[in-house]
Amino acid sequence: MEFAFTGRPPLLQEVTLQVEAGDFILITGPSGSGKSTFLRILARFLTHTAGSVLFHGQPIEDHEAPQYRRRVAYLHQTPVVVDDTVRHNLLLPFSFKANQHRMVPSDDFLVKTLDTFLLDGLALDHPAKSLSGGQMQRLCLMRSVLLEPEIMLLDEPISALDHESRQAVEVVMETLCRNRRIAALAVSHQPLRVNCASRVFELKGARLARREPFLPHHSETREVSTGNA
Amino acid sequence: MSQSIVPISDAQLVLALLFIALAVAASLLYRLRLERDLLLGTLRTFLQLFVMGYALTFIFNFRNPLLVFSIYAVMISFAAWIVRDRIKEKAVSYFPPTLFSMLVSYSVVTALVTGVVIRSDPWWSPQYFIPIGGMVVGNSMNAIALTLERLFSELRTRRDELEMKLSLGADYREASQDTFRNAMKAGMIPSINSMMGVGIVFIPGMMTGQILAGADPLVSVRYQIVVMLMLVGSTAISSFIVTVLVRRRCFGRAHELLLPPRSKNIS
Repeated sequence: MEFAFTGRPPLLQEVTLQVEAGDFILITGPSGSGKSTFLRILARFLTHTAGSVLFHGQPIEDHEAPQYRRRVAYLHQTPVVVDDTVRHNLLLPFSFKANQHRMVPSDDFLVKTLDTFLLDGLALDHPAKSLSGGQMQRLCLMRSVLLEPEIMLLDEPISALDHESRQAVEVVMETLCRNRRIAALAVSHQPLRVNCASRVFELKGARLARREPFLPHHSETREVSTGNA
Repeated sequence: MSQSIVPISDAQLVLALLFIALAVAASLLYRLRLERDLLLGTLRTFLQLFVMGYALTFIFNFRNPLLVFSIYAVMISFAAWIVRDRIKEKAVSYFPPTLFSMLVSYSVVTALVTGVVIRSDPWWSPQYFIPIGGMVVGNSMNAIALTLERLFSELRTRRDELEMKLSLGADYREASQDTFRNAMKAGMIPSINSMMGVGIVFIPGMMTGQILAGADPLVSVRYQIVVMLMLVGSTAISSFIVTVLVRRRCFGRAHELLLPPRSKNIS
């Protein structure tokens, strides 16, 4: 897969990657190397200029965008919440047409899930905008996970957080990866202490290079794959 | 209490130039360098309005529906160009939907007012259709400009929130629902506000014109009420159509926002 902004040299060239269920893939690289652009292509906020991006063997363009994005969740570098309660933020996606067939989680379920995301003790009526950066990040992670995505695209998930919040987010990411078999693709210019990171890549000079040998820990092969058509 | 209109003679018209002489004197005294603009403005006022007067006399006497609608189409095209010049958005082509929404909403409102409310005979009668249509176009074009300005600026400033909602399965309509509402409100509020102040804060231009022309104030009040209501109607319809059509153009096939993240794009 390749990508270039109009009139500029290619930002991504011959990028080939296959993501499998339960994978935790970390992409590092200097600032401006195209890490976030890569994630935004997978989230379909940008369109690759050559090659192909496949999801379950089909070009991503062939999938209905709202359904696709529910299954391939994208999280911004800065957590984004609406100016309302924690409950409203968590239930917001259930008001969208693409998610209306899904059962709306009860308050009991939400409170239990908040514990999993190390947000125990947080009241559902608490205003979301008053949370700390780390709490907001975990709330956003939880909001996406409630929709049971298959892949999560995490753009610099810890870069804006203090040390303590970083650790909490890392623990949550590891739990998701281990227990829920959600594939995660994270880009970060800082090392992530997530023990289940199955592959680490570096994006440099528009190309993606593997940094560590691949350590297979399962046999399912599916989800997103990118390559040259 | 209808009285015949007092005509303004050529000599009286020239006398009114004294006001310009006063302004030129002030400009010279305080070195405002506005003399050239003042003289040019005066010249254009005379020229443009007399040309318009002769043109209207011709149109009123000719009474041809094709001519009336052609003039109306030209007025709307000019208004759409003015809006285009004001917005200056490069990423999305909004001129065709702007022109379309103006044509539809203004034509419907003007035809309803002349045909149903005033019941002029025929409904396209130039004496009614042209000035009323002109008022609709002139006043409502500002609403379209305000609507588009708000739409483009909010889509940009709320990009993160939009993308957050899109990431959670929203389609572009659901993700931009608040922006849609705010854009429509921005277009409609000035005409609603003018309904609040009319008759207290200001005497509207049309009513003033009719009273000066010798009409009974109670008759001109009725006309003015119709004008105020039709302006609210035309701004509502045109703001709605333009927001629906232009918002769609701001998003791509994958419902992704096509406006590049620039903050100072709107003049």
